[in-house]
Amino acid sequence: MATFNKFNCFTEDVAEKVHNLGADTLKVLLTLTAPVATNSVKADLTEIASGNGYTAGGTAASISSSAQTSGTYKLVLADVVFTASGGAIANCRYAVLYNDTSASDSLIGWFDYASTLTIANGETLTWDADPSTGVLTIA
Amino acid sequence: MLDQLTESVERATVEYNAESTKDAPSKSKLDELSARIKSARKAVSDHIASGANPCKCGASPIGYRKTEAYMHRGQPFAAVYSILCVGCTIDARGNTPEEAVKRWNAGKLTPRPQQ
Repeated sequence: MATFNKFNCFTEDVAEKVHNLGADTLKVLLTLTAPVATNSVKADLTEIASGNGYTAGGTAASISSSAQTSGTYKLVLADVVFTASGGAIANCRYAVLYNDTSASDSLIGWFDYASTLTIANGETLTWDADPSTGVLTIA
Repeated sequence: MLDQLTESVERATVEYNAESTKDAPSKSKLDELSARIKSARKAVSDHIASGANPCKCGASPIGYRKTEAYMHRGQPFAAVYSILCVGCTIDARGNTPEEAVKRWNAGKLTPRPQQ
């Protein structure tokens, strides 16, 4: 399972109303270039080329639950499936979750698949969001 | 029915995004639309989790479509639905809401990855 890494800006952005994780459109984009914790907006990243089923900016992840229980907030997202069609999707290694509704496409976290992934024509890459642990929690 | 409920969420989300990206969005409108999204999402969850027993912790589980149906190398993969307790780290899955609820009620939970 890909490991989650938080962008530093997220903690301040949450505190300063940049995110409404219950309603904003959250997207997952792919990159081959390692993000760093100090990146803050989508423009800081080098996204893979669009085409063959991959849309620039990535794909929206449906919000399944945005709620707290006993004081711990958990964000549960549905999976995102990238399907290569008409050719291979450009190689990638990292999936980045960001807020497409925020004015600057503010970053939330990234997932490292630990090696370069090739998605050949007709193949899929499923960004598998663990429902029980959630994508992130805030306690 | 599920498609209609899901469309309600999508419509509310589109309206919310349209308001959010205005130069001067209305806070009251955003609050109203945000509440509508949550309400529509709850309706989807209630529909999928219909018949699911409470979690052992006492909380009512939520239901959602975890993965859309898709094709991989020409082979079809069915959608995956999850019944999940937000407070605990447990869920049950099935290729239909009914199957997921049945597995949840039978205690057939998704195995957790070994640490």
